[in-house]
Amino acid sequence: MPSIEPRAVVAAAAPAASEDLVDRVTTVESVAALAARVYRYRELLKNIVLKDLKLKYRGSALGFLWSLANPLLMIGVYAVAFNYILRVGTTGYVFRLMLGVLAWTFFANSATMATGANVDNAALLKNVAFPRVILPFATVLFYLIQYLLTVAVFLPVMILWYRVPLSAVMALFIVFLVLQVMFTTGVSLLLATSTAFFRDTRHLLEVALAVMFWTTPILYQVNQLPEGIKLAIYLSPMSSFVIAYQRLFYFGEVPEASVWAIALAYALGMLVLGVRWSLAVEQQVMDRL
Amino acid sequence: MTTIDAREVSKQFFLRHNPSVELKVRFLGLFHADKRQSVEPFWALKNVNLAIPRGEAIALVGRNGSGKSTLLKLIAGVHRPTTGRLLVSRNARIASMIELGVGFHPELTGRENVFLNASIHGFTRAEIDAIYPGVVRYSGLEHFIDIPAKNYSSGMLMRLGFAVAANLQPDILLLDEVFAVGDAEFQQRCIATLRGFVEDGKTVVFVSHDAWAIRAICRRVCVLEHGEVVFDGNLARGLAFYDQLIAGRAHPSPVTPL
Repeated sequence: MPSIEPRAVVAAAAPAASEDLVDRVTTVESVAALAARVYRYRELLKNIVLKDLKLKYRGSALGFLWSLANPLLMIGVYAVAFNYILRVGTTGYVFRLMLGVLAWTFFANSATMATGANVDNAALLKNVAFPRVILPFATVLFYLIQYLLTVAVFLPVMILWYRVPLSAVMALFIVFLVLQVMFTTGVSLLLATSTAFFRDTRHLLEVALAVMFWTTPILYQVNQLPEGIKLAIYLSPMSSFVIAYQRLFYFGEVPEASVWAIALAYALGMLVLGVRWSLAVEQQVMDRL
Repeated sequence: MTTIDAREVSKQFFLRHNPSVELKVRFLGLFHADKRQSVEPFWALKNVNLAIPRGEAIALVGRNGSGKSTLLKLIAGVHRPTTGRLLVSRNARIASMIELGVGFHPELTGRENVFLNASIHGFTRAEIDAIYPGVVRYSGLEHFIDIPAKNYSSGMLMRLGFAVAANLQPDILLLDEVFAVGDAEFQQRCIATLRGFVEDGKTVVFVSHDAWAIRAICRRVCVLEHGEVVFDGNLARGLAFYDQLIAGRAHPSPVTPL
């Protein structure tokens, strides 16, 4: 090994004052700055989502119909099991089941996929600088689009089948949808970041999703439960959203204030946590990939 | 006018030997020292000072693991210096071609990959539409553009990747050892393009082991060894210094003109 002394060759060359030099990597200080960065890369977000949608259906004869088949199967199995075998279902069981299953699928799929947003794209992340939050955002957007497509197909069918009168409160769907997207995005950011440090995140998530599924009133109604555990069910992260959808579309009524409050708290809380943590440890995540 | 300025830049990585939080591994580590997880701090770059003016092509040379790619990735903005500052011109458009095939999806066609790849560099739809015909013409892949990239040879992937990077009209272009897989004709085209870049006042940072390609593009050579700049100066002397270095005869008295 040749002994080579380091040399400060260019003696800390003072840059020409005429050039406006800035740090290559800067910390994103505000939500506005983050939004501006993501907006600049909107084409990338769009292309990633389009790529995933194309690849999902490319080469399959039924294409998008598969996205309908999956929830249909789930709804069918649960409807038979709970409505006809266990006979715990009440009028409109399948409709409420559908509202819950579709919203749940959107959340659970996003969370599961988001665990890989950083670790599965390590090569790309290590080669090109772009806003890292784009990848978990793309995951959520991908499942959001599929959620909206399935809702667009199933909802009119159910409304006609159960002869639910259309009402203005249904328009509040958009509010709870936005809240659920905020919540799901926050959780996805947390999971994408967490997996970079702790690969067990994926396995823990499976367990957590199972607990969350059974504590969310999808297969049952809250009022069928004993008083003691109602509060716990209300506080389960996905409950407020599912309850809201059922209230709006099946019962045609505005959800009570507590449902609004819980949904809002989870949406804002998770989004703030997710964004702040992802940005704070961005460089550590890069060094771990 | 300096467009890239590394000031006392150091970058530390942590080498994780036997990385695992698995309990099984932890347990084995109690008995076998070589299976134990250990974290070793490693300085990939040490106190690097490098000012690159606009309109210059500079070659980064050095052995494997000497810190060339790390420096390139700091300029690319992928990593941030542990200490020191890495500055670039405000609003400089930076394009990179660091690893072959990165930013391409094997299942997507060439056309779809051009749009994906350009958007990774922050291009909008209108901008990509504008450069798309030029990219395809440059790559010479008109006939294969609607075929999935998984069926491309590595040379074809390189063509498409370089065609995108060159047509992004970057102010700073970062290249890491990309010419090896191209045929002679395409290599000549790349070199002509890079020379044109430099004449237009753009900046090229080129990591390579290929003296021929370096001679064809660069006038300045920076030699890295163990994360430190050990030579920075003119082409012929730099390549001679590097030859001596790998032959084990280099002495620490390089001339330092700029």
